[in-house]
Amino acid sequence: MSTRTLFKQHPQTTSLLVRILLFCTVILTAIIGPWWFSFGLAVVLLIFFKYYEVVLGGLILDILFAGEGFSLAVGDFLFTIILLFMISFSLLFLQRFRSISSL
Amino acid sequence: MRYQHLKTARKIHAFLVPIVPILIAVVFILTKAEVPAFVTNGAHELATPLWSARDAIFGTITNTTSLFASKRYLAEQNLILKNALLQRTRETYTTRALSLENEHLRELLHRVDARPELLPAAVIHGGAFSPYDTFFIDIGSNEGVRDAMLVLTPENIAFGRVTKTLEHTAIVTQFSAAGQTFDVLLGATTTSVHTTINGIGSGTMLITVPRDVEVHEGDSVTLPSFTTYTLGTIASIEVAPEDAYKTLYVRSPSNSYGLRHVLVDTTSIWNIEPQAEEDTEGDKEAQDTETP
Repeated sequence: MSTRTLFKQHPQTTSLLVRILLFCTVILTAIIGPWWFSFGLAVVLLIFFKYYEVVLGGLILDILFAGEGFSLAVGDFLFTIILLFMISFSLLFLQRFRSISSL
Repeated sequence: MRYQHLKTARKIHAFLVPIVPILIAVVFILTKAEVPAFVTNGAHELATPLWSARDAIFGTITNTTSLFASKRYLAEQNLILKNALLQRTRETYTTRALSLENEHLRELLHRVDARPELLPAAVIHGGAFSPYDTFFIDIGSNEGVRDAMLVLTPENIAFGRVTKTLEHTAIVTQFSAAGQTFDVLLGATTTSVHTTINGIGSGTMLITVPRDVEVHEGDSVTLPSFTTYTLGTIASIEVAPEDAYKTLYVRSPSNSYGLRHVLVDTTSIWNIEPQAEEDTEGDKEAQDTETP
C-alpha cells in the first residue's frame, strides 16, 4: 500500500501523526526545552484538543526537576496535579470545544 | 427499554470519567507524594545524553554564526571585552586585598578558617529551563555529594543547597526558590541584624524588618556561618507610611541562567524547611538551620 493510498483510505492517519508529533514535542521540550513552553503547550493541547496523553509531559517535568523540600504543600507532582485537574475541567465544563478537537 | 439502559450507563460514565483524574490528583496532594530517587536517577541517566547533545548543537551553532560576523562588529566586541576585563582585573585586586585583610584580622582574633572542602561541579541543566528554581549538577553521591550541602558560585556566593542526591547527578534548589525560608544576617558589619529571608522565585528573596532598622539599597545579606558567604544584596526597599515594617527585596549577584560551574561545600549542611511546613512547626525552622 503506497503512502498516498494509506492517507486516502484512512483520513484519520494525518490527525494521528499530528497528535504523535505534538506529543513528542511536549515530551522533548519538557526534557531539553524551557518548562513554560512545554507546560503551556500541554495545557492548550489538553483543554482544546483533548490530547490527554500530554499529562506525561507534566509527569516528566515533576520527575526531572522536583527536589526534596520544595512542595508548595502538594508534594512533588505539582504539574501532574495541575494537568489532571485540567482533564476533569475540560471533560466537565468544556463540552463546546469538542467541535474544535474533532477538526 | 434497552435504549433507556444505555442512556443511564452513558450518564454514569459521563459523571465518573471526569472524577477519576480528580481522585488521582487528590491522592497525590493528600499523600504529598515524592518522586522516588531511583526514578529521578533513571530519568537523569536517560536525559543526560539529550542535554549533552543540545549543548553540543548550541555550541556548534554559536561557533558557526560567529564566523559570519563582520570585522567591524568583532573589533567593537573586542574593545568592549577588553574594557570589561580591565574593570574585572581592578575589582580582583580590591577583592584580593580585602581577602588578605580579612585573613589577617581572623588571625589576630585567633579564628583561622578550617578550609572548606569544595567540590567543583558543572551545571548540566536548569536556569530558564527549570520550573522549580532548581538546576542539576554533574556530580552525585558517588563523588561525595550529600543532601543539604551548600552550593556556591565560583565567586563564593551562596546560591542554593543540594535537595536530592542521585548517583551521578544532584538537584540543587536555589535559595530564592519559592517557599524557602531561612535565617540570614542583614549587613555584614558589627551592627548586623539577624532576620529571616523568604524566597519568592526568579532569583528574588524577601525580608521583612521593623521600619526602624537602618538599611540601604546595596547592603549585603550573608548566611550566619563562620565563613562569610554572601547571599545577595538589597535591590530595593518598600515601605508604606502606615506600615510598621518595611519590605526588602534581595537579589543574588549571580545569575542562574548563565551559571556554568558551581562549588559544593562538603562541610556545610543547610537544613531549610519549606514555608508550608514551617507555618505549622513554628520556630523549629530556626533551630534546624545549622551553621558550619
